Amino acid sequence: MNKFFLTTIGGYMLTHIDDRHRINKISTRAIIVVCLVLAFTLFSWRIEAASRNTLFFYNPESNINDFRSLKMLFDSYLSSNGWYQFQPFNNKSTFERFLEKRQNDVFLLSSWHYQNLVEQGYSNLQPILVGTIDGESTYTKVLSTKKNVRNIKRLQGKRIASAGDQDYTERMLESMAFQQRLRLNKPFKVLTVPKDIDALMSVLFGMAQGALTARHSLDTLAALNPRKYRLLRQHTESQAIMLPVVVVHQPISTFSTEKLLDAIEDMPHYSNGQAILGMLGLNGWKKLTRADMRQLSLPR
Amino acid sequence: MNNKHRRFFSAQFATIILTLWAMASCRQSPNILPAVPENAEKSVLIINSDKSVDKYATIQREFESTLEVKTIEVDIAGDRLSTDALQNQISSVRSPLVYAIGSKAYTLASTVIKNKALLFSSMINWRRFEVGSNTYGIALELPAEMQLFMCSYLFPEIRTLGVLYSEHHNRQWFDLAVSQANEVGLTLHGNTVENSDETIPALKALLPKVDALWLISDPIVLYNTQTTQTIFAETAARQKPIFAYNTLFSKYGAVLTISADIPTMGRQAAGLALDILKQQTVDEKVQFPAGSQVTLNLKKVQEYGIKINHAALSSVGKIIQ
Repeated sequence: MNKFFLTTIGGYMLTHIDDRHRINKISTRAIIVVCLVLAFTLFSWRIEAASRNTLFFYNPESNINDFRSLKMLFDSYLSSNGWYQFQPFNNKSTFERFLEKRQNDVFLLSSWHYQNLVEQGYSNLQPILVGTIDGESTYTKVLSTKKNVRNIKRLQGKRIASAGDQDYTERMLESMAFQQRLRLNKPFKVLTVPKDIDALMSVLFGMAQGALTARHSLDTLAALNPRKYRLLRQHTESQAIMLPVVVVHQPISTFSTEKLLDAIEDMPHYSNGQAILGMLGLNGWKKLTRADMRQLSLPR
Repeated sequence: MNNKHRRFFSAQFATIILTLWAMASCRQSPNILPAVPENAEKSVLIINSDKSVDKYATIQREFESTLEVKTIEVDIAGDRLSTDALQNQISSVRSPLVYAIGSKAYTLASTVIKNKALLFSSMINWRRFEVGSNTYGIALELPAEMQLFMCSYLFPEIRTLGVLYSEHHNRQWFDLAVSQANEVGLTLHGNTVENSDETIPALKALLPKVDALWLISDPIVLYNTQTTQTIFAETAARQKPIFAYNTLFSKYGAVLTISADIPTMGRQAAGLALDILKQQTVDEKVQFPAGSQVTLNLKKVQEYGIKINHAALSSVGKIIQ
């Protein structure tokens, strides 16, 4: 398109130039043409970028530290389904700024973050899909120790290894104490580690006195190393927490947004999709049911 | 104003600027001792072997951001002080705890520091060094169980691992690793190497018996770059994957590398430092690193046709494609 434009204008100029002022006129007109082409190209790119549907991601609970690998896998998978791309964030406020502005895009975030957004007033956000692990859309967190302790209160002031950040881990431990009708009056020392298995190993090797991990990570340890698993005591288990959700702004106004949602839902059927799900700690998606919406405490 | 006056004032102006610049340069001179903070009792002296090295800078950054206490810094490579000057600088600081990052920093600190707590990290094989009763640390090497667990978790069909090792350096380690491997359903086969000439023949004898090669830190086996490259070439020719203990082996073609996570070590060191400053009981004075960094070469996995457990990918920090 741009070459045609240049050729047409350039051809016109060359056939109508006065020989006496030839060089000056060519220079001036060439500059004008180049500027016009550049402006047109840049404008086209901006429209293109703006119209490319994006899957935005933010989840501090995930164990992912290096987004490059995840972005590479996602971009490769999504681009085979259409003009789509993946954009992860490690900053909550930046993610929320994009969430507010990009009405036709899709967002992958933790369920608690979604609930938090609804409470803040994002009333047109609709969860469409929820992640699953072996068909289940929820998981629980378990606090494990090597030594026998009466209750979670006894671990106050002790080091707890967790793959979540400080705020998340403290919030989770407070919630677990509340379940047991216990009031905490001293902080925990939180050691943030890259993944659940690191947290469990930290307790087994004495770097921490407790580990806060997902139940399925403990099950993995039990399956792969029963001897090490038997050295651990499980003390408190959280209530069921919904896995990450895929949300959109309602109503969905573009066909490409719907197609992107379909591509996400189809991931388990492809080996590269399975790899991505594995990195996210999932192995499938399902559409939210009424029961799932009740879990999120929101009317459908 | 005539030219003569203009030149005079220009010269005066230039002189003032030069003087101000010289004064500013003096303020930044590394030979001036850093001010001792008021709460020296609650401060930590950090001695960094070389802050220009990314992993040393990262660990210091994580340590400082986690620690709620003032720190004073000495960068051995960056400050370019003589050994005597460094020793004098370290001795003059009143911090009750010294944190040494890297072997060079630890060697210097352990020579100079006598009556203070000393914390170390980022030292290859810390057991080579003298460690006093007031010394604490974070080892650089992950426990073998962690590496074996990840192998078993990621590759459910790989059941036998080959290990090349020298008796002098790793006999005890290997004997223990055999039982640790059994815990996760793996079998270890080892071939010993007495000198570097035996490495490749030992490797060729080992490879037909095993599903993969587990490369461990052994100075006889990994004698030089050429030997390392030959190990990788021979193993690749037989389409056997290599699992290694350091991410630098990814560039040679290791399928899986598992090493200590540097930022976690910084946070772990900060936690230990706070316990020491508050005089709390520390159960393990020298600890294993709490976090691990797993790198998977998915391209090699696909090339060798190795079955992978996708559920384990959530434990992988970096994927090479």
